[in-house]
Amino acid sequence: MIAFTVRRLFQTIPVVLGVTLVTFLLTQILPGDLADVLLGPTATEEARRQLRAAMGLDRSLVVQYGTYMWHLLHGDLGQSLVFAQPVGAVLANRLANTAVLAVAAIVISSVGGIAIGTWVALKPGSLRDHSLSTSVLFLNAMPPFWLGLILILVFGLELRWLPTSGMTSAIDGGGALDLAAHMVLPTLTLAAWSMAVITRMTRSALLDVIDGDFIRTARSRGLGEARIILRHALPNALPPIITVIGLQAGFLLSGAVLTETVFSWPGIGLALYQGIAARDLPFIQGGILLLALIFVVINFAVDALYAYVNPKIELQ
Amino acid sequence: MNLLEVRNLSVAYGDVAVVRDVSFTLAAGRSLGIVGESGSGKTQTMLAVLRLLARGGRVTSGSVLFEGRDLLTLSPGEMRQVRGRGLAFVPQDALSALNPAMTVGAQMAEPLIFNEGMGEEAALARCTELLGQVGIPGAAARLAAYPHQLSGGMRQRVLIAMAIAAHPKLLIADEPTTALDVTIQDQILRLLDRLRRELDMALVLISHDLGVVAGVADRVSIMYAGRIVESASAAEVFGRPAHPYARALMAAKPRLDRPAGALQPIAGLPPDPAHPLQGCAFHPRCAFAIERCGADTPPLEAVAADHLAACWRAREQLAAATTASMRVADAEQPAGEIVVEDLSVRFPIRSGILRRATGTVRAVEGVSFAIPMGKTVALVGESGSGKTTTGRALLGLAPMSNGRVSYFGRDVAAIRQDMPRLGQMVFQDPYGSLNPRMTVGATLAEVVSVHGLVPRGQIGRKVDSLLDSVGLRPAMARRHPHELSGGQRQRVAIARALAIEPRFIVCDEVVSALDVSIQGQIINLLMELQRTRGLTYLFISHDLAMVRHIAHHVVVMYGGKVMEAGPRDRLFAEPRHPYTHALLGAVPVPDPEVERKRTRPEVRGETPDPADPPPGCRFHRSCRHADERCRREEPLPEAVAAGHTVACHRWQELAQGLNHA
Repeated sequence: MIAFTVRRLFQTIPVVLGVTLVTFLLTQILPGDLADVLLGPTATEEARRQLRAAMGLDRSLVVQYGTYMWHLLHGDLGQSLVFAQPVGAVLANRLANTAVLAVAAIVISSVGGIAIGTWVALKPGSLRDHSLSTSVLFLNAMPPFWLGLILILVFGLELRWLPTSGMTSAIDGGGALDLAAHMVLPTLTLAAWSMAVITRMTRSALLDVIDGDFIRTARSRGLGEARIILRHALPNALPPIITVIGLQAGFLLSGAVLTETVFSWPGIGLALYQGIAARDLPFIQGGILLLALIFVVINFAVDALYAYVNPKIELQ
Repeated sequence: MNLLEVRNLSVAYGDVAVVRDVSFTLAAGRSLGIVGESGSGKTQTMLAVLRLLARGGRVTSGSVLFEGRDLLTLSPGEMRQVRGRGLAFVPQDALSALNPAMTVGAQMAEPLIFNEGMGEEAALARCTELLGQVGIPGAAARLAAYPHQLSGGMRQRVLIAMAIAAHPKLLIADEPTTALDVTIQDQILRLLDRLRRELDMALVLISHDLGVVAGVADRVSIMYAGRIVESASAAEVFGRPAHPYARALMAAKPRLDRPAGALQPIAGLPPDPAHPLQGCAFHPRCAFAIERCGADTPPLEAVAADHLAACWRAREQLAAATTASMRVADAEQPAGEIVVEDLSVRFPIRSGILRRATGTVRAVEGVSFAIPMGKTVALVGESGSGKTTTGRALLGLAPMSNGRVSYFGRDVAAIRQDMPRLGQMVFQDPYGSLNPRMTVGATLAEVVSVHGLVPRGQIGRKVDSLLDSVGLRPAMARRHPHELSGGQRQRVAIARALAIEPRFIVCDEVVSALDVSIQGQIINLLMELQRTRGLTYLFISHDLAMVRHIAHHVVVMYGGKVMEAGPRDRLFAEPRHPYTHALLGAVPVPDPEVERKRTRPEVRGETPDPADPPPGCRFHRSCRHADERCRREEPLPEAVAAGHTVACHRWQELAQGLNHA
């Protein structure tokens, strides 16, 4: 398993390089460059040319990419225009806030999804199965920002049970209770869609396994039903479920942009939204690079977990 | 009192009845063989007894008394108490029947800890003891292994060990040897028989193979279309079969202890359970059917003392026996031969991050033989013997590391483009080798048009004639593979191979996936095609009885090497190599008399690892006669008689002993 993990680690290197290339090219693909953004529409052509020369934007693409990578390797992501701070510092500041939300969402959606999916799979075709599967489909079809708005309307504005915004910081904000109260609605918004997907995958993966021969063997030996499900069926159904959970991580990152915007949650997503609105190229570049790297790391973790769950992978 | 008494049991999936009105009894410590083809209901009957029917299946009537209690009325909790301790189950297909994500030890120990209340250490000690009991050495290492790290025979032993863990009174074994090589099958059958006697268990052995049941069962029940059609002591069923189906089944199965000739397959197909027939389900295929057979279902009743049969004409049948035998006329001999010289096929094993070759699998090593045109050479061996790789190499489909294959003096490498027209291959699994989205007609038409064999307008007629040559109606051209039976699919696969009119066909285990009654039909078709078209076959098979029917010459392979080769009759009558001898001895014969008296030269252990072949003779680790020289020095093929060669240091000393041992 160690050999597999190491090999998989090496395979992430070209992916990371690819990601940096794409984020670099982003500034080239978007209309207008940094000089246009900085100087605004009224600047003279001469002023633009001078600024470009000063920032090295008139050099060849290869040289520019080299410079970009050189800075990147020194931890320099550039200066954000909107936040008037180094991009790295802004991202570091806000990472914790997003992480709190994303981790809570992934835990809730995984635990809830696997539990509901298992419960439903025990009686396929029953009333329980049909009613829950339909509601899950409904959740699945709801865009997160819309669900967020509905939650704000009901629990924030009508019932006034929970705060809908005003979150400051997860680390040095208003303490655990304040954090929890602020977290409930955005976490639910973020978790709902993923939980629906995980529920559906758990149900179908478990149904595939549960008619298997080794389940029949376990029954023929007089083992209890709970043990058969938890110890025999579920571990064998896990690989596709883990894959889906890994994919949800990607969704949560993009979902964070929408959810954080709706709830004014001071995380990376909200910052990225503000950056995009202001055409803050260095910040967009840095934010996307960070999100992409997180995605790569999560996928690597999923593959490593896969090898742990499935002993056969070791051999390959 | 009977240990198990099944009364009028019927099982259905949805509206489809798969078991109909089945009754039988089994006394403590005795053994019952249930024989039938796929879909006969044999497995479903016993799954109903265990209350382990698949989703959608239910018992529609009847009762199952085990030690006087009706199992069908027990609560799930009470049933769990009976499973494992009263009734134990050995499933078929040992790979899928074990949990792939748990070690063998963890799976074995589970019920001991949670049902029997043993401590973890006591349970592991018991597992070690059980593995010893089923003949698995080095238990500690095996307990830590995952199922995929064990061989097929070893996995089946583990399942048996698991089944006997809680001292059951009845062991139900469902096709426990189906996926195994013949020498391993023999080991497993002997193990089951020994355990039954030692542990005083009753045994129900479910099998499609009459031979497997003959040596182990006291009583035999034969099932067809969900019903028991015949039931008696093993000696009676095999000696004086009363039901025409039982008779036909025995005639369809080639036997090593009878002269070879054309097989007598059962015409037609087994009935579809979704469309039950009126009257006796066998009547459309029965040579003895009378009007009444199509109208009323015959009851299972006594036709002689302790001999039950469900046939209106069973009593007459029992009186008159004899079946006519046919012989196939010899074909006209085309000239030339296909020669294999010193063929070796090696595959690199790649591992590590850089995928470097770290070892070599020696699939085939220094194999030589010749196939005269118009004849059949059989390549016999167990899995891992290199027989399939050899067959592929002959068609240029496997990389040759060494050696030469020539067709009529021309090297195979030089005639690569012509290869499809010279040689074709038919595979074991006709379902996997036919495109499921193409109709039979489209599949055949594709081959015909790609090779431009006939003008475009005549493709349809060519397809019809191809279907006709393999005994299928032209209407079959519109069907998809899933609408065909296994035998029909194999016929289509043969028709596809014939489409470009090759002179040579490699048949790779072409009948092993088919029901017994269908196997004979396909073998007879192949022999008929050889007679009418002068085809040459390389017939790859593990089934020696089948080989004896079709082959002119036999090549026996083991661990990638040829052990012995010779004309069929010589090789079967006077095998010189200890491996050939053991292989022949391991084939069960569907006759309890012969089966009980048969001396079986047991093969120890399993096929050598082709990545790490033993020094000296490849077979020495499993050979009873191996001495120091066999361990050191590799034997070269020596001529025993014209065309008969053997690779064994000791064949001359052993010549006397082997055939009388």
